[in-house]
Amino acid sequence: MGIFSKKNNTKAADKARLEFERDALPHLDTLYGVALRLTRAPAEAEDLVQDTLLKAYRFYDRFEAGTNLKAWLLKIMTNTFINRYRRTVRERGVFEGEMARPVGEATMSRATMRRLRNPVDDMERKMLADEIEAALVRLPAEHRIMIELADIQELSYREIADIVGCPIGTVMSRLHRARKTMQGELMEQALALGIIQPVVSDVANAADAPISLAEFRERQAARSHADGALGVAAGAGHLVGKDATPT
Amino acid sequence: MKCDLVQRHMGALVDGELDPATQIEFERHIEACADCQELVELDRVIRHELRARAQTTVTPSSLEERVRLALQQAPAEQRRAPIVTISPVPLKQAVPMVAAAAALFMVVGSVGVTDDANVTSASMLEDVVQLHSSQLPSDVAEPEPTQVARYFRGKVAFPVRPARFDRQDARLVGARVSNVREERAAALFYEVQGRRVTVVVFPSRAGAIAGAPVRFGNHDLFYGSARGYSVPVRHQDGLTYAFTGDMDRESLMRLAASARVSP
Repeated sequence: MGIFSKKNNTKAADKARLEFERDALPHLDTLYGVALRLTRAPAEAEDLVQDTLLKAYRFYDRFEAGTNLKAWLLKIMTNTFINRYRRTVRERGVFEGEMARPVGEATMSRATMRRLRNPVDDMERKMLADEIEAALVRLPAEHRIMIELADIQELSYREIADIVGCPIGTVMSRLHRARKTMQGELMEQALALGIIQPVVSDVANAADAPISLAEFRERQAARSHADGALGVAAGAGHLVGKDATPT
Repeated sequence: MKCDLVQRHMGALVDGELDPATQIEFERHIEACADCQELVELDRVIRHELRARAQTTVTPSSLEERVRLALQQAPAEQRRAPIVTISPVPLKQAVPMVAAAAALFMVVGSVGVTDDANVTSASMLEDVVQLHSSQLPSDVAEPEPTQVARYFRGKVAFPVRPARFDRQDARLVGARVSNVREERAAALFYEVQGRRVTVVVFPSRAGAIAGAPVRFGNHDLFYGSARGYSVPVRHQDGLTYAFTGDMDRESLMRLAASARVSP
């Protein structure tokens, strides 16, 4: 390669590069994990990590020594992801679709919540953990980034606001939405898996307690699930038939 | 106090991001409310599981080698070059051209610029076009020029004065903060003759267009393009104004030349 012909530059460049590698590469696992959860595909995650580190290297003289290098790298990664990866048609479709879906408030009963956080055995614990991860993966990119930075990387709202380039209030509301969506998804899946049942007390309360449409659908889904292998058509018809009533 | 209010801020409460007074007030409510307690616990469990699961991610062993190799091959001089050494041709020295149309051909692929400059310029244009084509929603509720200027205060490191076009069929419809290369940028969305036009403003050090400017109307325009979009560019007071939109090159050049970007 041509670069090796410039001998004078080579030594200085080597030194700068080794310095950068020494500082940045300890964060490789973090960067890969974040990239994987953002892109949802190992090959794309590797590309994103490489792009991020190349950019960081190029602009390393702008990094303020003594500040949080991990946060700086995550900022570059987030921006690279938003600018280059998220804007495929498929991703945008998911993004807008999810954003359009309203978030239900307080649709879980106390018993349901208690059940979700107290798995009976290791098998169920693993199932629930899988579902939590799946719920994260299904979140729209803008919300997934929030959960990643706040809950997994444990950054402060101020750091997140700086990384994402939005006000702290926006961080707060996006996080709330994201967590609410995840909880809803988790409950849906737990019902589908039969981990939680549409508990008797729920049904008993149903007459006087106003319930959300989402909760109604979940119960219907759980009931059709409980009907066993009656077939999708029967379950779906059941759901559609009753659907009009509560709305 | 309502559970609804507490639960809406539950995440921020657990994150310790509420002001102390609110924090204490909410905690007092939660102590007495079984529903809210349960939600706090569920929230904790979900976070815990997310973190535990994240720790099991295994980085491919080849990745570190791949990154080291890429870093090695990154041209060393590229590291500092784009920001410091590449600056637009001083406007005053630009040779006024008689026929702009003829000049356009000369600008594209002009001589005397380094590959670095071309790379910088290409990725800058790519970012600008990406901003336009991805049709991101506006972050500003009211597309009033003064509102928009206020929105950008504190978000970008320069004063944003939305470009004005002296024509009835052009209006500002939105704005949002974004990035061009490593620089914070202000994206301004317009509708001109019913077509979408995006103006992106950012510090000129994020990348200049390689080549000499063209005199068009009363202004010097640089001309770039990416992915089929024309991108006329103007420099003013250390800021770059990149224009792109769903219209032909001629119209965009004219629009860019007519824009008023000074106070």
